[in-house]
Amino acid sequence: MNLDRKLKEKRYEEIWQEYCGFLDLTIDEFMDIQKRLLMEQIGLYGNCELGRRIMGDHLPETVEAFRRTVPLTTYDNYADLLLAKAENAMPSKPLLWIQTTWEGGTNPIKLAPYTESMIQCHKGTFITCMILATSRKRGEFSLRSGEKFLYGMAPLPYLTGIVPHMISDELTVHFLPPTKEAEAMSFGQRNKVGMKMGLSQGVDLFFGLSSVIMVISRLLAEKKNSSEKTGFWGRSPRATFRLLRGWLRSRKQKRGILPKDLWQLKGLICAGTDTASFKPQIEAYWGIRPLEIFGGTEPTCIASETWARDGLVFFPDVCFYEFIPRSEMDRDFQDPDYIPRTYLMDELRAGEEYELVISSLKGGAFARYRVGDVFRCLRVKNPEQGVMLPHFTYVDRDPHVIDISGFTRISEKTILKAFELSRLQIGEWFAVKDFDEQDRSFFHLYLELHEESNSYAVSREIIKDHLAIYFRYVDADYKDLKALLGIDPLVVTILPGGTIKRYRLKFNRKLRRMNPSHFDVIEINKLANDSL
Amino acid sequence: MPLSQFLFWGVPIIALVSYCLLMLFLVLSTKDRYIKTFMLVLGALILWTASALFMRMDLSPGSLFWNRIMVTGMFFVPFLIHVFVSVLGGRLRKLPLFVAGIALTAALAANFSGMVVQEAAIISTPIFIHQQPTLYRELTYKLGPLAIPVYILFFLTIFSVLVQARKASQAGTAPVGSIRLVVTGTIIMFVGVVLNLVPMLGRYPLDILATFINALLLVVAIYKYRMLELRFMITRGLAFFAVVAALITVYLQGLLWVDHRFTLFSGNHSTLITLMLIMLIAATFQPLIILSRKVVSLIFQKADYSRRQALKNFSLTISGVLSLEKICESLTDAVQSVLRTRKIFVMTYSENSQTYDVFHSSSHIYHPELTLETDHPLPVWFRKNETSLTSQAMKSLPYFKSMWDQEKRLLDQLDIEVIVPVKSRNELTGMILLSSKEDNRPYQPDDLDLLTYLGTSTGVAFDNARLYAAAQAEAHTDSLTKLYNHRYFCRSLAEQIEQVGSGDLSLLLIDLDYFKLYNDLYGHFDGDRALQQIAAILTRLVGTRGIVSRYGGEEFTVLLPHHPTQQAYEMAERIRIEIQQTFMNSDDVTQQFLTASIGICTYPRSAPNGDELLKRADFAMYTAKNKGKNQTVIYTPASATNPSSPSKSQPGGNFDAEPSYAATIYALTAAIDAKDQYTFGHSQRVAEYAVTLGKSLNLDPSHLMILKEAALLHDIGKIGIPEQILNKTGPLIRDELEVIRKHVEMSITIVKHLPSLTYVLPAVIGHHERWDGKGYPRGTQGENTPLLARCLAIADTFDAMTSDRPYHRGMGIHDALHEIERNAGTQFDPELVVLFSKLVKNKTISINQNYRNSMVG
Repeated sequence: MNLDRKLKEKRYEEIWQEYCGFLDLTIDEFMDIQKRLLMEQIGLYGNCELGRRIMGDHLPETVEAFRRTVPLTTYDNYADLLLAKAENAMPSKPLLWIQTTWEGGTNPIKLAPYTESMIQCHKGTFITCMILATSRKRGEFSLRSGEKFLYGMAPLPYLTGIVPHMISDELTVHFLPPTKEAEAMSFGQRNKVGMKMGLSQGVDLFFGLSSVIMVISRLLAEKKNSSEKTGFWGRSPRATFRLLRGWLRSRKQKRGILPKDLWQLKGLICAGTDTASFKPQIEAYWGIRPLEIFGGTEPTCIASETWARDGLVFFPDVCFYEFIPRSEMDRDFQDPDYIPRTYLMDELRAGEEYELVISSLKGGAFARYRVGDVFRCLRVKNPEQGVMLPHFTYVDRDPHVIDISGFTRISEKTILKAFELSRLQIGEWFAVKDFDEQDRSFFHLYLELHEESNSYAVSREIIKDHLAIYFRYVDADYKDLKALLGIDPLVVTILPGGTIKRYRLKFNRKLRRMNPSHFDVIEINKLANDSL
Repeated sequence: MPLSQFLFWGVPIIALVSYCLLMLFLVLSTKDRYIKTFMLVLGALILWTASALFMRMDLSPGSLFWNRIMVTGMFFVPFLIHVFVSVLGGRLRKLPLFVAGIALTAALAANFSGMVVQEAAIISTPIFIHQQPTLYRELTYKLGPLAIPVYILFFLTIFSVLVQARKASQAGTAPVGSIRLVVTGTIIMFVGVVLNLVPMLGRYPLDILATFINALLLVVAIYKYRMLELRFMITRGLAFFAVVAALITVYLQGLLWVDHRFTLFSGNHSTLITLMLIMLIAATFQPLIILSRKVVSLIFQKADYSRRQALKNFSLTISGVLSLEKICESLTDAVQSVLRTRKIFVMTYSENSQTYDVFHSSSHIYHPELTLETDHPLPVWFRKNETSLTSQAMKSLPYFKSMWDQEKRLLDQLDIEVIVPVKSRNELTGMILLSSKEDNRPYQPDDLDLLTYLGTSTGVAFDNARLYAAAQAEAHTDSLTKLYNHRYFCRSLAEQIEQVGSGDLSLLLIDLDYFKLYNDLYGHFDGDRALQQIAAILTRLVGTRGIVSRYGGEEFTVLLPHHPTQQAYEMAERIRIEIQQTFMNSDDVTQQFLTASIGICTYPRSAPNGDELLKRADFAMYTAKNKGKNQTVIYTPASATNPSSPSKSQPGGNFDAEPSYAATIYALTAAIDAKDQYTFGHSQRVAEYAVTLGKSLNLDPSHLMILKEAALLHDIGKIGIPEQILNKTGPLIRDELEVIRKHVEMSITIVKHLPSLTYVLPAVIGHHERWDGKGYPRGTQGENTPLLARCLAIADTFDAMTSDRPYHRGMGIHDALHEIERNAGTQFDPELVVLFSKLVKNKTISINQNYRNSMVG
């Protein structure tokens, strides 16, 4: 019996139990599931070329042995087999290969195999997210068959594109625009058509990157307010009625029209870097608290907030999770040979930041894989809500990468490549992720020009424009930031020559090029000001 | 009765009775919000229909009053249906409800003020039907000035029901099927009421008929889409009441008919005759009432009856059965007879493998290979929970997220829908796995209750059967090796002879060689462990092909039904080689000499009966022993007539009979003497001293012989030690000492290749052991070192001390003896030291030191 049928038969308790029942687990039960499924994965992994390469010939017999003997991995450990789509070398036969960009990698893209079992699991977790998005209280939700779903995400072969295809046999959802048409459209077109359809048909659910939702919301409000007097004509009666009703609602509040005046969403799902900073504004626009989820190509969708919207909770059966504490991450940063220690979900401490390490389950490819995302453990349990599992908030990518609004990820390699192509005489430099007054993230590049360079005459703005051109060239997603989100992501600060060297001498340590600590940046600025 | 009159009376009566019965069922049922709202609708319908009927009956206070009540009911019905559909679709909004409520109140006020219906009356006209006078009744009414607005309001409410239903359908909040029925019913009701406005038709209760149809459709909508489980609402008592009411109606009708006919026939009749007629008809109907009671009981108890019957049969069967197989059979029969399950598998816990395995299958040909470890989520779940588990629950419970894909697939392939725990004393002893039912209907909660009960009963029965089986097994099992014992072997032999008929039954009689020595050498603990190892080998190699027993001591039997001699021989050889290799590969080199001699005899080819089979296999086994041990011999009649019939060999007993042994020993002794010139004659002298010591201990000749041979061979391992170490003049470094120490193990390696001399091994192995356990190679202590080895140790040390060695000159006899005595209780057996000292001092042991030294020099 699929979810449609269960919804029609009003088996709400059963549905909640099936999809959200994991929130009733104790941490011990959670760990039991994790460990047992990892043993299944070890068995599958031991029977394939990829597994033998990562684990060696000797199959770990326990979870502890697995953690002791298998090294921490990155995509480089898998690249040759995965990029060649070597199906026979995989633990289970992949049904799909999901793609993402590989910033700073040896190849423009990364590929990850998805087995049938993984897709089934992903389907379950995404439906859980949909249910939780429409829930305000434990056990109560308003998701029904036939919801109209404004789906502002990338199509296949990206991970988000899998959703419309996989849930169709379980739940009737009307995607706006319909999946087939949407797949032939560009990202901007898709959102535009979806909004237009939503105006006449209504919208029940909305899923998008937080940054994209923000931009759409802002544009929508601006457009409707500028055309509110003439916008009613030439539309379908339903759209006209909706606009009229929205206009009346906004008049009543004595303010401009907002998306919440046009639609009363049942659920709003958002994801992506910087979500935490966007969420209050999204809520103000849409009149509904968004549900944050977390996922990625390698791990799939692995965490969601609950009905209380007070932190991400990890799904127990998607991946096996390990966590590297911040102190170990820093030590690893300083000494590349250092092997950081990892901890399990039941060993974490509230308030600490951790880098996530995953091992795929259900025949996936990755073992002890450093995803590169950092979470803060908000609390190890939440007795108030009756959820006895750790809650997290997404902090950012690991410091090696600067992620702007979930759209682009800039690594040291990307920056060096842009410098090289620009032929600017750049000496020492470092880059940090910063936020403007509106809490929008941007990429702040501090650089010194070579003394022999004649670029001193060149202004900061010219250098910035120059570099921006090459960033757009080396990072395909960079240009989308401006085109789609209207964000200018780059700020350049030119430091007086020798500032970074003086820092080194003064503090007797090297300055990290990517995301040095906030206090190091303050010291650099002080030194720069002193030399002026 | 003309159709118009039937409509006039019949429709309201039938509708009212049906509504009342349905209301009664609902009152008795468990109510949720759907039922409660529907009861309100039903209440309004009853008001509408009952008042219409009372109006037609012209009951007091008059037709106009009942007409107004009827109109009130009529207004309430669409309003409450609107509420019902809103509840059904989960879209109950306060504002529209409030507006509708105001309109309803206004309509009611208009109605009771006479603005809707001003006049209403029943006109009775006498007419003749079949020449019989009958009253023909008709309703006449006059509408008031507000009739049309109020009816418009009524139709608007009906329209709002349709709108509400459409919304619920679009939103998917109510099942489409049930909404369709609600819409159809409402339209019919609308049409009925419209028709009623036409004066020609309004005289008939078409509105009541339409409303009745609407109510029926609502009931279907509710039932079909699981909002009400009517099956559970209708109790046996109610059904019986309905049947009896119907019978009484027929009975009264019959009575009136008979009475009428009788009157026509006789012109008139007395009260007595009427009473008699009543009695007669009552007597005729009595059996019908009894029958109806039985029929109702049967209908309502059918399921319960078959359940009870199955449970009764099952309980009766298992109470007297101690066989697990039979319990499982009656369990599957009981379940299949009640639930019509396609396949049932019973899994039981195996203590040996510590897993749950399929023990019994309802299918005679399909027995799936399904094994669940104790840490599998299913057993773990059932250890904590008592109730049965459906496949749906397994999918929805987060606990089962830990199940592996392969495990899920297997359960899917087996089409398992329900799993029932079999528990006894809180221990999970098994599980019952049920596939789908033959009619594909899902398992109901009462099915699961029944299964849980059966599981519990089975648990107790399993426990009893297991205890019985354990007691039985204990009586037939050898406690050390867990193989069958002698008693079971004898019984099996007789049974197998009977079962194989003219087929082959081979018997392997296996006797371990030198096991007594093994026991003497390593103690009974190691001996027992060796027997367990042998038992494990036999169990593994024979498997289900035969019956393995411990016949006694170090003798084992293997009964191989349907195995001709050649196959039995192949099996015996596999066993023999496996035993030899197991002990040859032992880490402890000193244990590498245990082998087996096997005799084979096959019934009926070589033995006419069980006794002879055993006797002849025994004969073959002794033949193997006499032929040099560690071999398999097949009994043939020819070997039985051979005069060199077997006799039990004794250690050392072959020495005189087989002079070649002596030659071998002297040859080996000469070899070592030649290699180690400093110890030339050492073995001979040690033999002399040791035998003298042995004699004074009153050892029997065979042991003295072993002692002598062991003494001659005790240093044979030195053949393998490099000469530069053996003859080194300076003190030996640690590594060299280690090499020297290896000579004991080398001795064993050499001697074990001479099967006829293996009896000397215990003494050879132990001659460097110390009384305090600090010796080598095994570090045995006190009397754990065999007596012969302890004798050899003193003799060996004494001769070594009194002989010249590359690294020292020989000590004087007195000094040597003193040294021996000083080490009594630490290196040497103190009692033997006293005896040896006495023997040296009284010259029973003669030492010619000068001769020796001159020989060495």
